[in-house]
Amino acid sequence: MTDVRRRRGSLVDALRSDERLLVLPAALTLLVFFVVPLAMLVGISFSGDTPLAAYRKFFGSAAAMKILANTVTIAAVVTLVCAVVAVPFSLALSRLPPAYARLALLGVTLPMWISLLVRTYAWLYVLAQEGVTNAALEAVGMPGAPFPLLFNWGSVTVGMVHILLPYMLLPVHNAVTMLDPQLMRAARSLGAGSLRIFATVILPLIARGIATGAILVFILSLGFFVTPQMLGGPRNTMIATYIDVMTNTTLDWPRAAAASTVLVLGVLVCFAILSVLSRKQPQAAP
Amino acid sequence: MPNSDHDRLKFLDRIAFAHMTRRGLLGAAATAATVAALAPGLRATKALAADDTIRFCSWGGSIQELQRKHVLEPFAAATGIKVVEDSLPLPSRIKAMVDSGNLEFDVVQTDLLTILALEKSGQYFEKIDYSKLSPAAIKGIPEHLKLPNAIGYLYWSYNIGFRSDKFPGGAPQSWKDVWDTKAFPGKRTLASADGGQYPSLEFALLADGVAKDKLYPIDVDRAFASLDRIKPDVAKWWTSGSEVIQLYTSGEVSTGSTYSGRILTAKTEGAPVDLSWNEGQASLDYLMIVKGAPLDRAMKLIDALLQVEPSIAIFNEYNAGPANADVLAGLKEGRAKELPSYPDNLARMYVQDSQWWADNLDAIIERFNEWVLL
Repeated sequence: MTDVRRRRGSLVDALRSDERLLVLPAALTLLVFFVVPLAMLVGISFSGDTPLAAYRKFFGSAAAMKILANTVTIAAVVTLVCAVVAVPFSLALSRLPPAYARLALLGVTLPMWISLLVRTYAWLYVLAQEGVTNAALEAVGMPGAPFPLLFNWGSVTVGMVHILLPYMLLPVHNAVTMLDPQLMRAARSLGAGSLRIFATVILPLIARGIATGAILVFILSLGFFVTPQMLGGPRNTMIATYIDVMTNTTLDWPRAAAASTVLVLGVLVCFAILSVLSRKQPQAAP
Repeated sequence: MPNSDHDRLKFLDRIAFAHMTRRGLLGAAATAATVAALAPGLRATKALAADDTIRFCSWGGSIQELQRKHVLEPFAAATGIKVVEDSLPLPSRIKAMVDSGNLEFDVVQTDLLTILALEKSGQYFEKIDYSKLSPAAIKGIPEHLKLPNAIGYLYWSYNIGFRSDKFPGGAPQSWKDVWDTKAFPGKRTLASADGGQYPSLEFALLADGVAKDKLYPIDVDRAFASLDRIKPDVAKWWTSGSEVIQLYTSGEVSTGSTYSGRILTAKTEGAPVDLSWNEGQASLDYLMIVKGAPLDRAMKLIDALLQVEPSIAIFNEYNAGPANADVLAGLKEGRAKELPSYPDNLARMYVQDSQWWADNLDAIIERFNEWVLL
């Protein structure tokens, strides 16, 4: 019997192994250009005077710890702001006629085609002392203008949210389009107000979309380099800048690699949380 | 380096973009380290310069355009040696190239601190064979700039920059003036410890009354004590030339430090900015040969780069000072005195002690970061 099965299955098996072969180019590319370099990076992090010297230096530096805390905090704030903007925006989109909704979505994703650097530079001129915003405030006679709008957490957050919003918006929008309008109608007919409908019907159903977006935005935020360096002030240093200084200025590669490894581990933890979340969350009702 | 920041930013953008597509798994700089680490594994593809090729790495932007037009293209046409160009010779790149035996460029233009910082951990440059250089091309270069593995090429500088429209009663002319926010109101900017910059300890000492020939070895505690006094008025510690000019032109700051080349270019373009040469810091870019490069062709290219006539054409347009006195003397009417290597300007500045910085860089950057952040 097993023989028969094996013979009958041989074609299917052959096909299966062919399918497996199809994964090979991608797997090899990842191996050579990602897994191996990453392993080497981890290797470099242990190549200091003693294997753990680089980590000891990294964790022993008060500045590095402050920078690590900065990085996690700003990533969390940016994620929160993106979610707060993306959820109402997606709900509004779902009310628009499809043609307008597509246009509005395009409006949000189009900036992704513009260089990150150009967009960051644009913020410098929008928020500068003699920039557009302050000129407008002065023109309407706002007392106290011009305000120092640049080089603080506010300007860093604005710049990063502008760049990262699409990563939150697209998964949330996806979840919102899968909402069954009948559920909302049913809830309303049973007497629920708008806020109650949002909290008890909509939010639980789109939570997975928000979680996906949140993890994406959070992970991308952790590695941000140009935006905090240009829009941030002296106290707004993030870890990518620190790694850059260790790599390019002091040439302390073990410590740069140690900081990178810590960052990579942080990201892996986020991915683990994401996969647990996606397993636990029930699918939206069909 | 003086006018390279456009390309530097393009480079930053490139790595920032690359690491975005990797979903932030690697810090931007870690990507560079990774590529470096990968190199030994790819030795099979080792890209040696072909027999008829020499590779040159400068700082991109207008300097490299001028070098291409006045030196590299004529050199290729005259000798039949193909010149392959590269930009941004960051010390980390030179370290990665030489450590992996996989050179990306042969002849390089960069500063002394790069050499000294690298040579703390090994040999990264070839000896310059001075017998292969035309005597006429190097006779105007002072002897103390002819090092065993580097030859002086151009002066660039950090100077006092200011908004020319903000100080009707006279602009700051010393670091003491820059530190005096009562007499010279407005926010300040000074160099950060990021993006290849070093904290302005010397300027802090000058503001505190130290004479400019008594700066080294730097009294670090005194310098930080002086920085403490200006810290509340510093709007931004700058990291690149394009950034510092933006700070002045958008009104974020009224005075502080700047690259001379950058601010002179902005002034020429009509921005209300200017500089004072007083108490500036002059730094030198040298020409060097990377360890393992083809010596014969490398020396030929260096010789071509040092020739007086093409150099005059370059420095008539580019805002840095030629190290060669013959080049300086050949510039068009009125041009030399706008440049940092003009004797009168140079005399008002001091030259960075790159050895002190190479020896103390790590500790200073660590301390500066803590001082700024905590």
